[in-house]
Amino acid sequence: MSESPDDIETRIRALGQVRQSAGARTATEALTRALEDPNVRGAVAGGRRRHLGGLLHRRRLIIGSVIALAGLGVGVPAVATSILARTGEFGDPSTSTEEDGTEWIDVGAEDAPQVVIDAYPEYLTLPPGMPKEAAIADVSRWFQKVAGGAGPGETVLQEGIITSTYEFFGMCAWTDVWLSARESGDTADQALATAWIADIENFRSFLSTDEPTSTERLKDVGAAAVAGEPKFVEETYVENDCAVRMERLKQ
Amino acid sequence: MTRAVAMVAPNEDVVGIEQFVRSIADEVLAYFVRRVTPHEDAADCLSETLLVIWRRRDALPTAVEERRAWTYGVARNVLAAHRRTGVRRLALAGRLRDELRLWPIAPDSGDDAAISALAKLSARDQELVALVAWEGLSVAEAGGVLGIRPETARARYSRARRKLRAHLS
Repeated sequence: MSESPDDIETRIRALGQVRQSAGARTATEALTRALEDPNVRGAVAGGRRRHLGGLLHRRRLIIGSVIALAGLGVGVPAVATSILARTGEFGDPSTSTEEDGTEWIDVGAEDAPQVVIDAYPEYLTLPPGMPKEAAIADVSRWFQKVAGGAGPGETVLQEGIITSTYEFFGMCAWTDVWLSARESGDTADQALATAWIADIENFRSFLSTDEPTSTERLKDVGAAAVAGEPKFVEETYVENDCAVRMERLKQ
Repeated sequence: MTRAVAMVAPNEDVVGIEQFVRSIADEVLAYFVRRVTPHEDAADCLSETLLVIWRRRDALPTAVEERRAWTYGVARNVLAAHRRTGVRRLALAGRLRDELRLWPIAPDSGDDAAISALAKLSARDQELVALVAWEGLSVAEAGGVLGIRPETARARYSRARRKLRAHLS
């Protein structure tokens, strides 16, 4: 028996139907009203505020440019601590025009490396044969540099930066394929790489900071790849330190 | 990511925010109930979401529908945090936790074929379909919650529906 679209929607909608008890509704209302009191919110946020008080003296790492992502200083692994990396604090545009809405991550927390692993974006497509573990290893190395030996509560960065770093690992991987394919005359591989490089949806996290010059730059690189013009592609490869990152991969 | 929203002036009337939070609390609780186990953890996720709304109230969009979508963006972040590391448990939410433990309100459906068809979609498509079917968001709004563009969301949604139809026929 075939289903009409309406039937399908009705059946899917039915899967999510919940009926709240009167007690749950009353308890939800009580919780909502309690949080309307600024004093209550202040008391609840007390621990958070003390915790974030220290953040005022922290470095808040932001996306500066592609070059900045690749050029951060050398560091040491994060120190083990019981503080969790996820701060529960999301983007605040008042601190930076380049900030996005993602969560601030405490890079010195014990579980910060796991946050990096979890942040691998589902939409990131790597060249055939390249496992996602390669990207995770690369971004984890970058993250260790960013952490720079910071202790818990000393340095925070936004999860969006981690996602963007994955995107630029993808850029490295695909520009590597593009340049190699162009050199060897492998038109099929070059076309495959061109399609990825020219699709700015692959940089959705990076571009979510709404930096017009970044969008234009990525479009220029994509257009250059489509045109078979190596200049911008090579520049991007250099800017992102791709030679070193890909070489590590091949070792 | 849910950044593409109209911003409201910082001096937004507190009463208006209170009314909005009251109006949306039940449906945000339902959002979490559908997605977390044990069910009582939905109380903690709800309290955290409401606190984030209050903390970021200056960023609340003006239009009601945009506010709903923005709130689900916050809820999605809280859900991700809950799944990865858990969210804090507030004493304030204790009553609701107890209530959810005693009277679970999780969805209960015997439509195994529909459950199975939905489960066959990718996680992102499942969430896109769920935000539309369960939370009542438009496809574009649901795409915004998931960080994908409206046209991409519409294409993915159409494809997901085709797959659902194929699995259910």
